[in-house]
Amino acid sequence: MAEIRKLLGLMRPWTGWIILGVFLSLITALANVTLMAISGWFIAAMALAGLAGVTMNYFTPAAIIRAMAITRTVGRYAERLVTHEATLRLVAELRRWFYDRMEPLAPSGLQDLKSGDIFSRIGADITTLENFYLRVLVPSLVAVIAVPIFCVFAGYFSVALAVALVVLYVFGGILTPWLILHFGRQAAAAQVLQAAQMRSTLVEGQQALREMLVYGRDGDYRQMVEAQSESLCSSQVRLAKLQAASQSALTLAASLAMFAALWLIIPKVDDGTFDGPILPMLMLFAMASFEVIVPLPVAIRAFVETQVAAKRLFGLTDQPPRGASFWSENAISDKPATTPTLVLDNASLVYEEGRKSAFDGLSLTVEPGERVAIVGPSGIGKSSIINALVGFWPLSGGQILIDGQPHCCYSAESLRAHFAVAPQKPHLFNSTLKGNLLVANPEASDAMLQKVLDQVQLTDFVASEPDGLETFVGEAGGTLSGGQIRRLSIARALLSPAPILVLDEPGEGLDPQMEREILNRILDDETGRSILLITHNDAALERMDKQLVLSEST
Amino acid sequence: MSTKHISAFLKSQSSRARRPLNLSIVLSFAAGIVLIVQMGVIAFVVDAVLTDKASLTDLLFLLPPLVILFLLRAILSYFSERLALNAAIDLKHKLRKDLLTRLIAKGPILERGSENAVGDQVTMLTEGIEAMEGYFARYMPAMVMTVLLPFAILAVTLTRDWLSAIVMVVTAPLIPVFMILIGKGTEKLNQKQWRKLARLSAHFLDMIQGLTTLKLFNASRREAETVSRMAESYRRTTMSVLRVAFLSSLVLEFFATVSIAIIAVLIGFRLLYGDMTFFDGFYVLLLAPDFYLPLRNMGTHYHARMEAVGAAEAMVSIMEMDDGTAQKSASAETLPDLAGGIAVEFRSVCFSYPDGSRALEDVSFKLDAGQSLALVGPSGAGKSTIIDLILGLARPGEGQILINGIDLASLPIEAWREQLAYVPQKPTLFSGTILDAIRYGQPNASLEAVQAAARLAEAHDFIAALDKGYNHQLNEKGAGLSGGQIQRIAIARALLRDAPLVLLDEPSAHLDRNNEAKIQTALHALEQRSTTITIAHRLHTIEEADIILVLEKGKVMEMGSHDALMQQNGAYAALVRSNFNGTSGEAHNG
Repeated sequence: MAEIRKLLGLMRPWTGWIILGVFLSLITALANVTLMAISGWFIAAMALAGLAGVTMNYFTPAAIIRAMAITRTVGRYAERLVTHEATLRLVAELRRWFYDRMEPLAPSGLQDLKSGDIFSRIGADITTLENFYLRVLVPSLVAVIAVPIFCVFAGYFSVALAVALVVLYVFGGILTPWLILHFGRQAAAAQVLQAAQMRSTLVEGQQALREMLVYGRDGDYRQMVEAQSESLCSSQVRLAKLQAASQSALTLAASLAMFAALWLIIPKVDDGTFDGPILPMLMLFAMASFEVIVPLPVAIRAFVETQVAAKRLFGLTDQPPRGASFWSENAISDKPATTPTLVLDNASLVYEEGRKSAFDGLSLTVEPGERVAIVGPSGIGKSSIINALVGFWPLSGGQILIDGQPHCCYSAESLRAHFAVAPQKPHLFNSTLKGNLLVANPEASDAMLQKVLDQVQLTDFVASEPDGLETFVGEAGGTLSGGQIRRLSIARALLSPAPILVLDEPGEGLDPQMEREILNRILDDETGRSILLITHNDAALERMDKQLVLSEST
Repeated sequence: MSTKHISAFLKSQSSRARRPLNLSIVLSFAAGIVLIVQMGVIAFVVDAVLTDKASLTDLLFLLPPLVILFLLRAILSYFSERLALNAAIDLKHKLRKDLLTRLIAKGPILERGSENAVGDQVTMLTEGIEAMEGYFARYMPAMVMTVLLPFAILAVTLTRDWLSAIVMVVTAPLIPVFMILIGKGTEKLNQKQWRKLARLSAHFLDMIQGLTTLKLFNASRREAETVSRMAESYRRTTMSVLRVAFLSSLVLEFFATVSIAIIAVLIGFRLLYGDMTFFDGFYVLLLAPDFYLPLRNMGTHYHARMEAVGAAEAMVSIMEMDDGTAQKSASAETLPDLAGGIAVEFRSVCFSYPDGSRALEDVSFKLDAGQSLALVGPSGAGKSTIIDLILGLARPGEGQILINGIDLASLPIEAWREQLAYVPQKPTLFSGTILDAIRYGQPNASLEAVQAAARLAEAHDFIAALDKGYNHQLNEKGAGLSGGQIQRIAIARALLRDAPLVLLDEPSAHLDRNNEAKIQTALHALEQRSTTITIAHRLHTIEEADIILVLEKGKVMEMGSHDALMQQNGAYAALVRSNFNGTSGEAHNG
């Protein structure tokens, strides 16, 4: 329930919309019931007047019928427009809300989740929340308001009928939903999770088709998705059964309401308590009043689904960030104006309590404009230094100083603005070459783009593509070779205006000659910036001002 | 893609569940008939009370049958609904299976320049498939019911009151006509909505996987604006679809209401003037809403159909795509005996991407069993394409690939792939343990065999140093390991296969010099036993190769051994001189 309270809290700015939606929905339901009741009365009254050979005033009831018919039709249209508009706006806002809370968690807070799972949350789970207002909130509120009105109306004619209706309302609106909750809660909840799980499998599988096919595991993958699809189906089948049963139960309850009206009102017509037309009026009223009860079994299922989806969303957004904690107040939030001095003072990083440290007791000073290499074999935590520098992970010991200030005195954004990183595992977006470069600096001019492309020797490649800089790189840079991806990632870092350039294994996927040429070119061109080169080989080492050699024992 | 085409696809899909859907329709129709009878009984009871002053005891004999009719209708509609929903669930499952099979058969070869993304595909297989439910479970049965039930009601009405029947006959056809007119515009809107959803999904997935990069460049705030903008634009498109759907419902409901009102007015006045019995008038009026109900519902169902059509667009193009890859191979021949090793021959092989751009042109070479081939050339020269062709992920446009003299296209592809070990440029490790990752291609390998392979690949030591050793859980894409470690696990995975043909893509790229020397030894051992094709960047690998193939822009520039090519003093010699400065010692160390 905590999730639902939180969700309601998020919906507070939409209170006006919600009230309007409930109001329109209520008006529509009442108009429909009135229409049915009056029509029943009217037709019988006309017939009895005809039989008695008297005239009657048919203008007033006819006018009411017309008014109710129009109210019902237009009201339903307006209600749908308003409720959908409101819920879709809410959902669009929620995606942004979720993003704003997910973003600070990355990457440390998200590392235990598959991207397919996060994808399910921002996509399908938020879409599920759509139903909370549409299928849970509005129908429940309408029922809560309308049912007492119906009872008072029925009670005015016959207390027994009012009691019978209450019993049937309870059967249809409380007992049936309760049974659905009892028998369907698991399936409704499982369904959300099963769909998310299948989505994760599909994301991972479709992105790794190549190795899957080559290693002959595509059959396993297909079977896994099939099994997941089957368990999703079995939940759906269970829910379908309950849905069909609850629908029938509601139809039956509505029919029985009409039956109750017959049973209880016929004697009163016989003994002259009521005029004849009251009978069809109450009969049709009783049946039509179930219109507000019918959506309740659906509501309870939507409620369970909403709860699960909300739990998944808040489970992620409520996590405390695992990255370095920054000062929230008085943080330095200026963009770096000059190249600062960077000092690592006996810094160490442990990813998980009890696990081996990624690096330990690391001390290093990078003066403004200095070029420093961090050299060591693969797998001893060189890349973890970047995670510490940009604040993705907190230090477990020592400190990092930028111009003498501990790095946690900076705002997260200001800290990151110091570093232009070409990471070891770069991500290219499914966009154009240009779009990928502009991530680092959206204001970069075409001349600047040309320059960095030239620095990484991609000019010829770009020129050979018919679309030039507008060439799409495919998902994760899929249409480019490993070397091209590496160079584009270096170009992106070069384009960033940040004062400390960090190159993590820039030679990966490149031939040694090209690696050396690119590094030499960068070292020639970059005059103002400090450069931190993380590498396992010796290309361009002779041109570095300083070397920090890490070995297994470090 | 035309709606007609997509509709045909949807129809052919739903015909796979013809039997349960038909049964559901029959039951639903039966429930409708029960309703007609039930309304007759009710009209009779009310008529008796009002005109004949009948008492409850007079009518007692009718009340139990009435309850039975209620129950009967509830039971019939329960089974009808269940059958329809189950059929839809079954159809969705089958369609998902078929689509996935197609997507796997299509393989990973990207169409250059296409925006096709995994996010799209996943959305199609989940949300897209779910959007079919309304079509299968509602629209298809509703289409039949729209015809059946109103006709039954009309027949009953005709026996009671011909004037009302005429009103029904005249007004009913107007409803579908109006709907079709409105529907015309929504087809395009629905397709647009689904394309937007696909794009939104693909963008979200890309954004999630690139979030670290976005953060590194402080671009994540800008991305927030993009998220808002895309979500907002999707909302607007969805709302424009819904507005039309609601409007069409409004029109339908309005017409139905007006029609019922006309019937009611005509009945009312005839009752007032005594031209009609109350029973007839009341009965017809009770039936009239149910006459228009299936027609009114058709508005909702039509929307379900449009939604399905929008979602199915992408599915149709996948189901109709020519799966030109090796999956289609005739497989007439079983795999020949490859115990003596594998010889590979390319005969004038050409390959073009689907967009027409040439990747390989007239490539020919012959590699004997146990020999090694080094592919050399700049990025985009076609080296990876040669590997893809041998892997059976793509098929040559022209020419032939011969394996021990037999056309690769005629070999059973899965059995063929079992003969291969492959180390890609960017290895992917699936979530699971390191143990699972290494025996990915040999799920039944023993722990000893896995450890032996890991030792050869110089991966054992770092794995053993992990807290859980071989049971260390890898998260997505092997995150948590360095690039070099992932590479070594991928080599162990390949070594474990003990395959007669080894395909290596820049195998030493991620390794430090210390490990590289060891890896070279391990790979050397592998090469002794196997035929090897390597995309090589290191002079050492290239020098050792029996044949070097120098590629440029998809064409073979030179071919031969290192010594022969150096003597030839052509492109290769120039490449060696410029790339390795003649200092082969450095290149040895990498």
